[in-house]
Amino acid sequence: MNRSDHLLEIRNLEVVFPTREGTVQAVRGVSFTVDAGESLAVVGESGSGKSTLARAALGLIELPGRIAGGEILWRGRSLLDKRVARRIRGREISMVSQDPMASMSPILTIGTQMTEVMTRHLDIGRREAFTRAGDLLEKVGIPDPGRRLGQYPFEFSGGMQQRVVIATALSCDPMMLIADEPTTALDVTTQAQILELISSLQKDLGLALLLITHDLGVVAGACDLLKVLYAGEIVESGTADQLFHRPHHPYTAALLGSTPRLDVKADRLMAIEGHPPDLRHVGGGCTFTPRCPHATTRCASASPVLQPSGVGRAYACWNPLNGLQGRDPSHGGGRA
Amino acid sequence: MGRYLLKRLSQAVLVVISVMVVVFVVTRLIGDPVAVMLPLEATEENRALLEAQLGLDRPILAQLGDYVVDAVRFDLGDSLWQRRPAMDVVLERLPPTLLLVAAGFAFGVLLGVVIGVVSGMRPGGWVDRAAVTFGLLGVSLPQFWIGLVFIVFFSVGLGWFPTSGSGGIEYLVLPAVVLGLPVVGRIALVTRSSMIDELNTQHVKDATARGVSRTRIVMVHAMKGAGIATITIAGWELIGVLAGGAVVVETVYAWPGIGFTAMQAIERHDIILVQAVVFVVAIMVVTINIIVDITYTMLDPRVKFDRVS
Amino acid sequence: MKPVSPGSRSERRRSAGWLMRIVRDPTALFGVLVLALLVAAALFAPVIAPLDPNKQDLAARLLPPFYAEGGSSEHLLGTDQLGRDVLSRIIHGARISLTIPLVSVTLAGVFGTAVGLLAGYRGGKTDAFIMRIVDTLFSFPGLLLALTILAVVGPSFWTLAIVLSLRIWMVFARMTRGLVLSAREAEYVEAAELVGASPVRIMVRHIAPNLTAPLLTLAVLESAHVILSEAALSFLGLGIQPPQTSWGLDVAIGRQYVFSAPWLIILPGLAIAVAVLGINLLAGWLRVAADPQESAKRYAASADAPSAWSG
Repeated sequence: MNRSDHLLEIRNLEVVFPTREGTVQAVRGVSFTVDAGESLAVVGESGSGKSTLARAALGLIELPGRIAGGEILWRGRSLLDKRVARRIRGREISMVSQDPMASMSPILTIGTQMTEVMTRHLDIGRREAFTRAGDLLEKVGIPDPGRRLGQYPFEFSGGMQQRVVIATALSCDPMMLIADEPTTALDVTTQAQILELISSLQKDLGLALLLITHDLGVVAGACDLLKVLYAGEIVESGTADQLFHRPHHPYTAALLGSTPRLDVKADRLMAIEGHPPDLRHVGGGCTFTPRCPHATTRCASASPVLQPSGVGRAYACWNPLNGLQGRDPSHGGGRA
Repeated sequence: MGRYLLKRLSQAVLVVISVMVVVFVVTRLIGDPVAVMLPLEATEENRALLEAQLGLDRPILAQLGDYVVDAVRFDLGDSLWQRRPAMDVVLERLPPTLLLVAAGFAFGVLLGVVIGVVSGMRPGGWVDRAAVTFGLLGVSLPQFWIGLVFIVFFSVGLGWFPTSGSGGIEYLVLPAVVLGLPVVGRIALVTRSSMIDELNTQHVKDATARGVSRTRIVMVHAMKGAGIATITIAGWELIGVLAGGAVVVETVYAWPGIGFTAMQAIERHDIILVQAVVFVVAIMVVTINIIVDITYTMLDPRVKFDRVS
Repeated sequence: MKPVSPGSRSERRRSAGWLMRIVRDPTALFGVLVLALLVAAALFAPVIAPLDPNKQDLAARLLPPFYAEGGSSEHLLGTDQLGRDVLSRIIHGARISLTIPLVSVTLAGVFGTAVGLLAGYRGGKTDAFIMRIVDTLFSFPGLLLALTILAVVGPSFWTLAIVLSLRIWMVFARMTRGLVLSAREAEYVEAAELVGASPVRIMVRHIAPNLTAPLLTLAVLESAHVILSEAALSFLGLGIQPPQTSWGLDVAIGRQYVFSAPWLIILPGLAIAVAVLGINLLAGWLRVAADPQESAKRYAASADAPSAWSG
């Protein structure tokens, strides 16, 4: 039996997708842990493997993908065991995904779709489940829940529908919530409201939160810890504070440069030049080399490993930023 | 709902009238109905008499007007072969056809849906491969030939069923199965592909992630979606069975329904009776179309009656 | 189906590997072989057929085929009630089974595509009017109406071909209209319209290339339907008339000998079944091959896919 003291522990996870043009290595040796009540964000561009990672944390891999190596442990039990994963999904870990309008069946009522998870996992009947569903809708800020339960998803706005999805995710009192780009499909005002809702629910209920996003702006208020994913690998990790103010990896810095922020005045946003690497043919060397302004010959030939620097911080780079060589920039706000 | 129904009904009447106009144009303008109806040795007097009897000596537009008005009154004239109102003959022969069509269609849809759902759940598996092959055979084998081959094997060879005619349930089995086989094939292929599509939708993936059981996803989420897609196809199939398959199968098995009657009428040059059959079938076809639309609208909450074109 | 820009390089490269891809796919290969066999039989029927299909030999009537007791190598597939050679009749029957769909589908395809182009390109009231007619025709009782028309007009090769094409042209119209509408939304077509390219030029240069593959696939699929309809009408006595030969007609003749000579039913019907199966397989393969998305899906499904999702 694999022992783990963490809520979720992912060890050396590798996920591959065979395609006609070659095998895509979507996730390449990712390890991290999530503890109870902790909020962790995984940030990366599209194609970085972040959504695959989110699904894998539920024991789900979309075919033809498969897990080529590593482990996913939930409170010490392997989620690679389908029977374990089936019992835990929706009950102990639940998920909020990107597009709320596509997330629920368009031809079943909200009530049906909220209660079907409860009647399966909790020992309650349909009537009780409906009462509970109404309470949950009220809790996420949907007025007139009794009427709303009889409606279909298309009768809700995007923001309202995402609230429904969140309420459904919380219906079995889970320990962890995985939110995969929960605000991407929404308009800006609604984005802030939904983020705030997730954040406050996480604190009130003592949930662990795994937030997957491409947008560092989303992370700012919502998460304590941050992992930056590039080409299927974690290239930098630490507290959100540390990474925002003193990124070591040039990619993290580039991401920050491309994110609009209210607290920092920037003349213009910097787009990241170039494209992510082709994950069918990953050679030696750092995968960020072709796009990196600080790349040297060493970067192209040898791959840097994720190495710790200070408390709870790590980066994978030969030429880290912010004067790391010589002095240790990590200070205060470190992970306890 | 009321306005919608009224609109659909008026469209349906229009379709039936246009079918009858086409039949009229074909029989009176392109063809020569009198020549078709009369025996070869008929004289010029016989011909004039029959023309007058059928009102063919009057102006063509007046004929068309009378014809449509009569059709709306369900009066299509007397059958030349049976010497009584053609509508009476058709209505008398309708119940056997309805029985056969109901049995064949039910067999086809039920088996087709079961095969489609099971194979759509595991595309590429052996059940799926067998189902796809079976479906392909169902749409590729000529129906009249399957009917005859079944007679050769099951009636002549094994003696399990009578070769043709009507009577007890044993007479119904072979024609119903033969009528339903192409339906099984097409319904299975359509249900299968919409099951595959449904099971690949984001909401099914998310339902899995939410912790909905596989059984419930297949039986409720995917099947309701696939069902809505299948209903339309099933409607077309029913129309095909009624207006095509039944004629062929009834003829092969000498089943005393309207299809067999139509063939007998054609052999006897009884154009009036053929018209009556076409008329009744056209009415049934448009009725099925309306029923399918209403069922579809009731099943799919996204479609509202007032929004259906 | 996504619109493709005309004559792109990748498209040309794809067509070069066309033949190889057919050879590698067993179902498509079967379809192509069946079709090739059919064409060869139709073209060279007098050379291939061992005997004249209409030569009667009453002394050798109702001879069983080679696999049955009493079969001979002289009449491999036996003889009918007039002593005519069944194999020769089946080979000659391929002529009708191939020319009828060729003529009907060409007529229906040309007419239907023209109507569909008109509806899709003109849009508005023209479109609404045309599509209303097309929809109405779809709810006509097809076979029954065809029977009525043939009974009145009299069955012949040409009336049969025209009646069969009348039953299917709407399918081409509907598909063409849909393809035109989606192609018109493509940016390069909008751009061409903006710079003032003539409608004819836009049609030929930009829209037509998007129509070819799907319409060709549809034509192949509809040929299968036409073969089945021709066989059914001939079986019912309102299709091909003697002395011409048709597989459906031969099954109808064999019907009277269901007890004594079942091969007269089984063998010509088998020819219809194999031909239609071959064409359907080819059509299925074409549909997948012409659609890159679909073919990627096929690949993914064949890799190892017990279900759409694991877990």
